[in-house]
Amino acid sequence: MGAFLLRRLLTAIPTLFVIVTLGFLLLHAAPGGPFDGEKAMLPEIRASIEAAYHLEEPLPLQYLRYLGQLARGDFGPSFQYRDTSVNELIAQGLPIDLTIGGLALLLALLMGIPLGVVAAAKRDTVWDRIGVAFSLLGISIPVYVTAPVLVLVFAVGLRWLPAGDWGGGAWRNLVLPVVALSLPYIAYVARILRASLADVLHAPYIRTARAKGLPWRTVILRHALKPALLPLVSFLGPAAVGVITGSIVIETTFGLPGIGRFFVDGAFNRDYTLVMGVTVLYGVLIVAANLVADICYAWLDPRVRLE
Amino acid sequence: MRFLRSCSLAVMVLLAACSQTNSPSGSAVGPDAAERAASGHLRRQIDSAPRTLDPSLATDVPTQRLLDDLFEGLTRIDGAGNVAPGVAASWDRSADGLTWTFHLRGDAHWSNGDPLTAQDFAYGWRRTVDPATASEYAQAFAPLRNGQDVAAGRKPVAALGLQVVDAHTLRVELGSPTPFFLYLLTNSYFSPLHEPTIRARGTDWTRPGNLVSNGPYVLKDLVINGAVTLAKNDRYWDAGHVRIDTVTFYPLSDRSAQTARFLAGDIDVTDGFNIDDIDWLRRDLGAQVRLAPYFGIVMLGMHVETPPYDRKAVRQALSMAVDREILVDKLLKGLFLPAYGFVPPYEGYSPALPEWASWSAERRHARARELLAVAGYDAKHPLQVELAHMITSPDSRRLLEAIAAMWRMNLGVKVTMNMSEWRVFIQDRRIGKHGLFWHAWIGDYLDPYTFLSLFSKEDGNNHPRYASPRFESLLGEAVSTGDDARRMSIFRQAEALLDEDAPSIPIYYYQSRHLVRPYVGGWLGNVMDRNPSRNLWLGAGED
Repeated sequence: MGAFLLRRLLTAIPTLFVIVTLGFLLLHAAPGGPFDGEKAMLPEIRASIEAAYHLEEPLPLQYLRYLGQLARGDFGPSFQYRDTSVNELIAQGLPIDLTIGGLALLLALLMGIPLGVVAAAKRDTVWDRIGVAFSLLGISIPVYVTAPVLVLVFAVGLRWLPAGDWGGGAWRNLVLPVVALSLPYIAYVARILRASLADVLHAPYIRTARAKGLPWRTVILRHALKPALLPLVSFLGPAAVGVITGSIVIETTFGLPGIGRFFVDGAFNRDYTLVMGVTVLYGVLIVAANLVADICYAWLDPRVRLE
Repeated sequence: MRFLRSCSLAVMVLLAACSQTNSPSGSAVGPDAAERAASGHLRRQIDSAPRTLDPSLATDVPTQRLLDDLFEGLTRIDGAGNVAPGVAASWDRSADGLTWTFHLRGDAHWSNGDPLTAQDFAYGWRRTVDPATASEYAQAFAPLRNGQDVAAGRKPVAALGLQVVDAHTLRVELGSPTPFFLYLLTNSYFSPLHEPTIRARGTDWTRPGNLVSNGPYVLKDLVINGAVTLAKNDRYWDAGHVRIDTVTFYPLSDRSAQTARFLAGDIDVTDGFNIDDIDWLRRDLGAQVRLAPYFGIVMLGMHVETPPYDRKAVRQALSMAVDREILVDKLLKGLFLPAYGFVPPYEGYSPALPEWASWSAERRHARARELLAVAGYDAKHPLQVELAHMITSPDSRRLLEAIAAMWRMNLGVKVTMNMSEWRVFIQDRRIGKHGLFWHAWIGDYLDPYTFLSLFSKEDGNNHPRYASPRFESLLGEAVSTGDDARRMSIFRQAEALLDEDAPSIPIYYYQSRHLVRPYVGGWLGNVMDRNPSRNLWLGAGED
């Protein structure tokens, strides 16, 4: 187990290095500079601004400088938020995304697993149909429709909840974004679990368990659920990163100060350091999430060994 | 993202229409109006998070909204958008208009209690103009003696035309009479700065807890991309007239989300709304929809050195063939004003319009076709143009497509559209890659010069590269005269010359649009669209 972890962590280093290099090159290859604004600048002023950010240096030098900074854990100063460092922006945005994304994922599992189990266990009954219909809706109606509808019903119409804002993480402010973000994931979880559980339920050892006279409930919860979770785990690894790194739609609709907006605004504004910082962070999160998924796999499936 | 917006919009309109039928009228005002008024807390929306609260570095409109509350210059903006005394209680202007002496009030203080002196202004201005600060607004100091040279690093900062006479007297020397100088001084880049704080804190000086400011409000809390909260500054010299205790600014870029937050009662003032929403907003919100002429213009520029735009006849024909009234009425829902001149009309200046502005559409189109024929284009050899613009809101794209259709229909011109990302478009336009391009401009101060100087040969924003010796001499004459009436008449001549030479096609003048709760008092709407919170109040009408 220890050797496995060490090996995985060591292979993560070249992966991240490739991400950093590609990101850096792509970003600098994009036309338009961070200080091309609506208003023209005196060439001298442009030069002094570019010098302040070392943009006048040759690209290889900028790249080495960036790598050096990165090795010290410093993402550098943001270009668009001129008196703030990228580290500060990430430190501010990440807890918000972790809260919203973590809760949404939790909700997705709490709702999706029972829905999937019921649908698989009561196959071709009305419960199954309801579950399938719900998950189809959840998958096919995009967040940018559900989020404004939730706002209109619960904030504008009923005035039960605020229409947006982080509000320091108060539960009232969390409800709508978490629900909106989790809806498609509830649907995915339910669908995947329904399919895999249905497969497992046809396995010989389930028939044996049934033949021994075990009740359905025990068969499903004790014997069938654990192996049926395998496809879900491989889905959840990347999905967790997707949920946690925030949905730009959710952040924009609810005015949440998360990282997703920084990332998109940063790309549009050629905020090289900010985009690089978030890219590296996403890279690390994805590597970590896949690692966790692999560990879960081994725990769930005795045939998989972490060697 | 475009699809996203139209979808959410459709849903919003639908639901707003449904909710309207089963909610009592006036519910949009909400039963909590009295409660809101009593709270002393104003909640405003801005279009994006402040990029920095450093007055030397800030450039964007949302940040200006905050800085208008946090800092105060020698002069400030009143509710009607006029210049009012700020830290300077009074001033004298020399006969030639070149030397201004400002007398600072004795009771002006920093938020930490330090007395505010002329030295703080000298420090702030020199810091902004210093190339080492790398301020995009260093050029704003060009009217000061040596301003341009200091900004460009050709002269030392000490050469800036600025002198601290004593603790409460500041003398400013200008390179030419600048009638709009007092207006210029209301902008935050002319704010005083607290030197000890900046020296001690470095780039952290703008953080909550560190920021020392001198305006009606102080910074209480700041979450980037989240809420920014300001509290009344009790040490502000005019604190007695500041009626709102707390102001929170919410950065929200999505127009549908802004409207939803307003309707939900979470926000008292928005900085805009979708053009397409105007009909149901007017119906449901009535007087809460606030429109006012805004000192800005949308044009299509033409690079006068690039064929076919090097032919004046071609430029005139393209301009004449655009039916502005149709664009404004049908596509822009009457929210903007059709433009034929280059300076948006305001009190104090009546623009010079081309003669054909009053012609019928048929007559204009016929004349435009004649001009094209003179330039050698006809049905067999149609004019081909490429209209460059940025990926933008659906509103603007529809507008550009309509203009292209008008050229096709009225002149038989072949039009292709060239769309690129904002930063790419800006860069390409700057290096002269585009022949025919989108060009919008918001005035920096209330004077025709802010628009006319766009066509000055040396101006970096002269994207058409228009160069006319007569235009230059008119601008030079206007800048050097101290006589205001004469100045305006020269500006009209210069504008008439632009009408004739047509380096750009004026399309429409902007209007500002806001949603403002009825219990927010003092919101007059003004041509610069600046509404500092200190001019506002909550509750029924005092003044």
